[in-house]
Amino acid sequence: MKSLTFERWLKIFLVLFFLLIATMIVSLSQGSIRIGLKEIIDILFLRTTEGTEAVILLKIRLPRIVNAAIVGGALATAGAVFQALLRNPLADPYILGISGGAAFGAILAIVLGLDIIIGGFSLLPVFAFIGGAVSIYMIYAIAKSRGRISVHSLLLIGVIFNAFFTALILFITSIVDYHKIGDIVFWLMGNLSSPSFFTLLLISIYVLTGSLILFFRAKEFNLICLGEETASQMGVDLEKTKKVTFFAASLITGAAVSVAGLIGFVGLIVPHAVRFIVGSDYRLLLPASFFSGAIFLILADMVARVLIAPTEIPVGVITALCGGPFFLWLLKRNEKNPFF
Amino acid sequence: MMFIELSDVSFAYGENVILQELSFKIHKGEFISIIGPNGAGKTTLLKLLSRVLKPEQGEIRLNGVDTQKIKRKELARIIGVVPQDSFIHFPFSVLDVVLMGRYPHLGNMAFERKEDLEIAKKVMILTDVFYLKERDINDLSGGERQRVIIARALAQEPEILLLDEFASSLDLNHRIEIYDLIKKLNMERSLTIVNVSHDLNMASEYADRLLLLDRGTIHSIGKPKDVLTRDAIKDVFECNVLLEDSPVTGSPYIIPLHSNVKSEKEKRTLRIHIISGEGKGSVLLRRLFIRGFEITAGVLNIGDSDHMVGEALEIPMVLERPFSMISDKAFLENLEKIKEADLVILEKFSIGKGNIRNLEAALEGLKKGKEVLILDNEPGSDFTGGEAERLYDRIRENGGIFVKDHKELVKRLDRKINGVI
Repeated sequence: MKSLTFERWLKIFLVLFFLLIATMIVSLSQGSIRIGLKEIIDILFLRTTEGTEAVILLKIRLPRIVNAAIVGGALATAGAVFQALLRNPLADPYILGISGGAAFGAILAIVLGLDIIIGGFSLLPVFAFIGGAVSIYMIYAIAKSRGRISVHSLLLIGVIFNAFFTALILFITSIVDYHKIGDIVFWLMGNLSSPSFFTLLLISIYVLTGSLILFFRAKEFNLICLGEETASQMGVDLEKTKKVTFFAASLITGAAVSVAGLIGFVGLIVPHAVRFIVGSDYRLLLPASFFSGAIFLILADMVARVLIAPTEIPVGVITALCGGPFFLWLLKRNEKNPFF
Repeated sequence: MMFIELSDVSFAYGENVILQELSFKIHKGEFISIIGPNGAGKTTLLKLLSRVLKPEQGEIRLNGVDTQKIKRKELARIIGVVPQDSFIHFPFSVLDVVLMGRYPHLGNMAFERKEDLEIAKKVMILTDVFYLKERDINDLSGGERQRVIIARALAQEPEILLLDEFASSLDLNHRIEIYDLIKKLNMERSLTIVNVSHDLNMASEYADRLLLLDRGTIHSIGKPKDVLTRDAIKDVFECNVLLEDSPVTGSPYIIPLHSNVKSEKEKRTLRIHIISGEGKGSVLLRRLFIRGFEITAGVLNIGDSDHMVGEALEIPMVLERPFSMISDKAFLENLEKIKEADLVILEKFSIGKGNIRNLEAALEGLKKGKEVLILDNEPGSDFTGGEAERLYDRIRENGGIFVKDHKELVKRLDRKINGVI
């Protein structure tokens, strides 16, 4: 009999972990200047600390790649979790409009001068989290009728939320500082940068904490996939699970949006590809989605940096170019499914 | 020993009252089937028992403890549920689904233990799904999937199993097998079974007791032969059946009677003339037609919905052109049909100058000694300045019988056909 054992779990975990490291190294080597493997190792282990290459690698590429890993992992994990909670394979923080809500929260905080740092913690991700949490709560309340959530209302609500929040963001920006509108548009399209070590640490703490909370509820997500009523009949305290999950998923989405803007479709493509390979068991699906999301976004960002170097394309453009057709394929393929 | 006890349990969805002050007990090790027509509240009752819904009034106690005070996980170790519809939105293997049944015992502990796998294997063999263990649950047939869901509920090792129409998607072979299995678990491990079913025969064959629900209240509860009586079925399900003792178990066995397959006693039929208008009669025409009465109708205006229904059912009708006064010819033809009928039914439709002669025809019928029943459920409007009202009064004075709804009407017709009236 085949069921998930610790051995299988660990094997997949380790394989994905090493794949992530390998992707990072490949990505470190690519860019306007190519850097060889030996030099990378020398620089990473601080055997070489001088020279342009060391500066590029440590100050620009490494923070950016770690940033991509954290953001990609966060979005993929959040996507997988929303898919269980809404029992819908098309859920993704971007498509649902949660990222839009988070972005609005972040912009509002910046405009109102609330992006302060208290006790070493920047409040910006917190505002993004609040924006995301309010959105997911509203989406859930609006989409749910008679205990069922129809995919069409869900998608419509997502489109409307995104359009509305984007308009609000541009409106506020136009009023406050018109010259910044170019930057904001770039950010709205999803853009990775090389954040400071401190910001990176902060975001990592938010994302890892949220993800761990979600990983420990993996079995509950399995049961929720069977339907909410069934899950509670099988022993899940649904209200509590939903509260904690909405909280944690909004937290990691908010953290990702606050540093990377609106990167779409990662939460859709990655969990699906992973489901295809490891199955739907959330105990495996969640960590695997985290690693695969990280790998996917590092690769997408590498393409964005290298494709027409030295000009950069916003990474959100790359993910949307992959994600749009994938989404349509999924929608079409799922038509047989009585849930649609 | 008492196990589940409901006292004065009521439930409503908003204004819509589903269950009203139910009180009964389910004993440990009992096999009880809940039966009743659609909308009687069977599934709601089951959801209250599994605490998916909360009673608005009253209390459900499990071994004396209010179920609202029991933790979900603990409750899931006592009660397993097999729901009506079991579509699963993501691809899970059969084994994965069955192992999920171990959740109330394991909680969020990451991996199943050896004993959990043993239990899963055992219940899968019992429900004959072990050979499917690696298949995707959504690739299975409805019946196979339902057996997996039963295995999942059994993997919870519950003391009570709630089943909601669990066998309706199974073929005869597996239905009997699964019922036998449930009965075996019930007998050997004193697993308490609460089974909602539309299959009255299966319900009565296997259950120790039946609970017959009728519009949110308990019609009767007790041994199958005391609950499933001909009158009870007629009363609650509004249909005619024959009851025989099952040659195997001695439980009542129901043979539904189609209107064209009547028992000796019911061979005699009635000829009924229906006077209606403005589409009011279409439901009645259909109902009485299906019950096998010989129906005529008139005077109807060509093109209204009564006419269309009558035409579809090939009922002889007296007709008049659309929006026209009833002519002398149609009036006399109508009187002829009334004369030929055993009984006349008059719907209370809206009366204007055009169709008032339909009331006069009914009155004529009464005077000639015909029985006239007037359906008084939703009276139409009077556009004749009181003339119609006066005619109704005269119909009443001449012995017209007013009945309040279709149900009462049908009961009356049944009594008449059996020679009671």
